[in-house]
Amino acid sequence: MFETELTKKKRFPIFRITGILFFAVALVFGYRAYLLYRLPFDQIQISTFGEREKLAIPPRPGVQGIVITGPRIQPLFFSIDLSRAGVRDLDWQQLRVIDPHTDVKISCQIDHRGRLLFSQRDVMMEGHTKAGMMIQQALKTWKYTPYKSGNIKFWFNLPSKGKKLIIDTSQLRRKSSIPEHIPVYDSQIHLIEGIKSSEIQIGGII
Amino acid sequence: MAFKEPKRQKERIELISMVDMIFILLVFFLVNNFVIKMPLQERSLYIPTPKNELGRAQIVIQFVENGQIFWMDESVSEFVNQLEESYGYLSEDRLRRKVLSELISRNIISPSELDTKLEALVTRANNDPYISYFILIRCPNDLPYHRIINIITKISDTNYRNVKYGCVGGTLEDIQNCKCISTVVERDTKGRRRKNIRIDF
Repeated sequence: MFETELTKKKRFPIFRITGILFFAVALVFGYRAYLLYRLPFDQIQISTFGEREKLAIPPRPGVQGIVITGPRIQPLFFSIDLSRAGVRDLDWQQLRVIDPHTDVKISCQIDHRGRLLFSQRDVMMEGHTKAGMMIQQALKTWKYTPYKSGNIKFWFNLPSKGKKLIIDTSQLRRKSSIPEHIPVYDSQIHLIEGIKSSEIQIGGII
Repeated sequence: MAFKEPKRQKERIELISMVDMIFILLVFFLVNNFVIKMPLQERSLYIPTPKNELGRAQIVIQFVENGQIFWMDESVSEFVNQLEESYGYLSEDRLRRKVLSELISRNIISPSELDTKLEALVTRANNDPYISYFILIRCPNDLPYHRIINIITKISDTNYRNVKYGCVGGTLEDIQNCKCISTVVERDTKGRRRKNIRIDF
């Protein structure tokens, strides 16, 4: 039986693919040979013994020094110590009702135990006695965490369109017994119920 | 009588096998080609080596020659800090020696005490998946291998795999003869301030 023209046509692409693959392989092989030819002679083969001699013992962490992780440093917060007995808050809304034009300045001292101390001479409340007495009654009960001491001033200025309460903490100093690496942050340094945060300025100088 | 001529099979190349073989050759030469392109260093040796830096760990276990162990954990930093404050009037070298002698005499423990400490550590690690420990084990070159294996067996079997360890060669003399030992305030990876102990050999 003879091969028909159709069978010959069918087989022809297979020969063509095979031929292309042969050429591709030959090309790759040729390119590889070309790359090898370009390499310096000593790099064509890797000397096993030669390379081994160059190996140095790698350094390892812990051979030249150690760092032992210590405890986390907890920052201290200077604030009103709510855990202490008798601490009372000041009702801001009630103060506004009693005297909407309250203008009272109080200069206080925080002692080394965190107590807020002041006398009548430290209170400036001309014309606003009722409001001044109310503020004093609340402030007398305030006790702070014993991390800072010094002068602290309060200015209750209700008619003001800006800040209605200014607390001057510029003269407070951290206790010298607290190690320097422990940070002391100011936290809640007043206990006034009903005041908006936008109405208070902490840190201003009075 | 005319005999029927047997049907002759036509001889031909087995194309399927040949294509398979060509593909294998093609892949081989291609891979080989890429290997040639690699630099000599990469071909000869590629071992990721650790950097030459300080070993950081929460706990250091130093084997001592007479079978005892020198244990240092995070409580050490407070102790060293107290010594630094108490003996601050001493010269730097004398302070270093004082701190080291006090530290070593306080923290040398027996193998049974080590077992107790490790059990407590593993219990803590098993109860809290969010804490993690890294233990640096320093051992002299002539230390019997089974002693390290005992420790590794104990600490590697935690529920949350949160106790990791590293072994390194070193003796107690390295620590005794260190250039400097001091407390340093550093920030950890999460930015939290910690009071660490730094020992430079």
